[in-house]
Amino acid sequence: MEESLGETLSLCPQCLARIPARKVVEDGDVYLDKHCPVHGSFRTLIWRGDRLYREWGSGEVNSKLIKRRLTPTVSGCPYDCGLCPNHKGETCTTLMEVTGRCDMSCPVCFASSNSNLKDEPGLSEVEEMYRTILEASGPCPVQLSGGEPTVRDDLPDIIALGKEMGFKHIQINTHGLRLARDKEYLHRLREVGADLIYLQFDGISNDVYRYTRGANLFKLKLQAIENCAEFRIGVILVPTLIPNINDHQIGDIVRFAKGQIPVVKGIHFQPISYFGRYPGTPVNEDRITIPDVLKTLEVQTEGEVKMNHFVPRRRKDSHCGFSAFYVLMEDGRLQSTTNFERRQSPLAGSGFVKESPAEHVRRFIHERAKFVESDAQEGENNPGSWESFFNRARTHYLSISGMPFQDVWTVDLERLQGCCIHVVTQYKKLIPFCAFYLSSASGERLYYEGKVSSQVAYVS
Amino acid sequence: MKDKAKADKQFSSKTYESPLFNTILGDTLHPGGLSLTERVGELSQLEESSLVLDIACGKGVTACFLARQYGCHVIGIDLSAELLSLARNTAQRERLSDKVEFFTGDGERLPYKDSLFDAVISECSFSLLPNKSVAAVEIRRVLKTGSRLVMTDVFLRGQLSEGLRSQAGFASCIAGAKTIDEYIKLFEELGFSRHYVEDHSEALMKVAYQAVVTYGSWEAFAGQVWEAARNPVEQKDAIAEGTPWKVLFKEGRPGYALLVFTKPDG
Amino acid sequence: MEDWYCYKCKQKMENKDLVTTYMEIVRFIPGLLCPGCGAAFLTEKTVIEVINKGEEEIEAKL
Repeated sequence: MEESLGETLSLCPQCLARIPARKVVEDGDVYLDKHCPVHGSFRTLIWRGDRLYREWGSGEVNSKLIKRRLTPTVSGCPYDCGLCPNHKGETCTTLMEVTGRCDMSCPVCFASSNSNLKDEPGLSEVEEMYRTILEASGPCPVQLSGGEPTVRDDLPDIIALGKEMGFKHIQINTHGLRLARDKEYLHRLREVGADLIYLQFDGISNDVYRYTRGANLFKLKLQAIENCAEFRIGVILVPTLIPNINDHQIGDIVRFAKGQIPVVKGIHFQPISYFGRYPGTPVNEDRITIPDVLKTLEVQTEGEVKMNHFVPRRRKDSHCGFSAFYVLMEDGRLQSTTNFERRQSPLAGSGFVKESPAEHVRRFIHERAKFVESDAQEGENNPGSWESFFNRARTHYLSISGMPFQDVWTVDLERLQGCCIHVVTQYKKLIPFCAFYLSSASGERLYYEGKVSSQVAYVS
Repeated sequence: MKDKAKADKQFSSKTYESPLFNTILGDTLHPGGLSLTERVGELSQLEESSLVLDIACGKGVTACFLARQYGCHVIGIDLSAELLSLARNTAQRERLSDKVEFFTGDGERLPYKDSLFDAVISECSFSLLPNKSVAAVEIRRVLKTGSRLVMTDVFLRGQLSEGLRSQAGFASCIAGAKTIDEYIKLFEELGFSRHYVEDHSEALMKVAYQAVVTYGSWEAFAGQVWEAARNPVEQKDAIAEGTPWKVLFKEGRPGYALLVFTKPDG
Repeated sequence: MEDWYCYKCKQKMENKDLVTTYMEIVRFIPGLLCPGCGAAFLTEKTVIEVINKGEEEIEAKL
């Protein structure tokens, strides 16, 4: 027996045409069901356990509109990204690809690197990209990415330029190997004000890294974190979760992170999505959905982390991601400060949110990353006081969050329209993250060099 | 043609025996020296259990360095008996004889079975090979799947005609060099994937500068090298005198780069 | 501290450590409690400088 949870639009995995889709419940799990007139039907698991899906509701958080639209709507979503007037997600973070090169060759990478020396944006082109962001969205948090940004010796200059142009928060998305090997480079990054390291981190043993990254990297990851602690720059651990490869280490990753507070500020889980060439359709066993991660967290931390600590992202589609915030107490226990039942902010009264969700996320990102000194405050010595708790919360915290990227099987255009993570390109456009990296089953990118690939069929 | 290729390779290997090359390039016999070799080591993803092949290993400095740094096993091959002998002495002196071994071997015909090596290293030697496609196929054959070729070499920013290249006299690195795109195309067409490139042209500039400073001019240096190399080897028609080095540099605009290619799975 | 009287019961308020909770965390804060109706009050200083400030900092991280 099948039950429909709603209609939406999606893309054909073969030809990238826009096709109608339905979210359906079958045997208690939620699937995205869609049909292409040319290539047939596709059904993909998107959420294990329909009850939580329904509880998390429809989202419908209205975000403020984007400052300026850079492209008109012509062919309709997702072919007009730039952003077009139909986009409903204000920018909360912008990703900037500063290089296409990477000195690793990881099987699971979402950004396949295949450009050589000459395609790299020079500083003046980087400036153009910063300007595009300012024009469309103002000075939001920026994440420098690639390829691998640390292959650029002038990465500190890129950061310095952004700071000069008014960007208050700049993160680096990296495998961290150079940060482990080259302390002088890390020092330069810190000097120009790099705010946070988004560190690729799949697990706590080398067998995991051998599978996901093709090399034994654990010692280097440890060294990178140690060096970041020395230079007082915060780290978010970013594991790519793959069923039967590292999902048995979810609890271990949390325990590891606890031991690395305060240099580690959070863990951001990325359940695997399928980009690039993929034979056939990924089967249910290849999918790890949000409820799977939450359940596993609760089981593998023996209840220290609980499913009901997690709140959905405040986005148009609430099933886009999850987060929870913990304070590491003196006794070594993680104390949650978030709870699904009480997800309305006490300050917000009855449903009134003081600022737009994107502004909120922007401030959150900035606040969360600050490396704060543990300073003494009155009343703090009394372990039973609120002062001591809030003081502890200022320095010893851990956020646990996650977001599965959409791939061509799971893509839901409604969710895409609410996406707040935008990629800036050299072609003066902002493109939502999942649209930017989306590729067909044969590996054909939807967007290439800022334009929709000519192979795409526009079927309404 | 087959004889010419063999003669060219032997001639090149002889030039590397000259003390002149040692003065300019140092013991490692390649631009960038040991610090560039360190970077090569990082990108090779080596560990204790790794088996590495160093093509045109020269005096064995790289092989010994990697064995020391990572604890891995290295096999070095070269065409020069003299350099190999020096390499073996070095390994013995540094008590690495159980980890590094040196053999006579031709980069275009590797005397090893399929899928043996965890990494193949080639420092400033690929450009010297006359039959690069053959060499690339061989490298791919002996690499384990998922493992990497890490090479550093001269590359061209400009173009050199066949005429100019043949005027270079011997199969020198600049005459045999390709553009980055050409290297990438060569390897990807022969079944390698996921290329990665790092520019290290300042290393080549240092070498050129050193040559000029020591010998007065690049021509003077090259002339002396050619002289020293010519005598023990008999060359008949292949070598032209008075190689137009200035033109080679100006038209070719050489640089130095580190390139990584991966042998894909499946 | 001055004497405070409960508005409803007209009884004198007692200085007590009040039990307060935030999520699952329980803490004590000195405040005023009416022995009659149980009405509890905190000083303005405590609320503004400690509770509100702390809450805001945590909420900012959500």
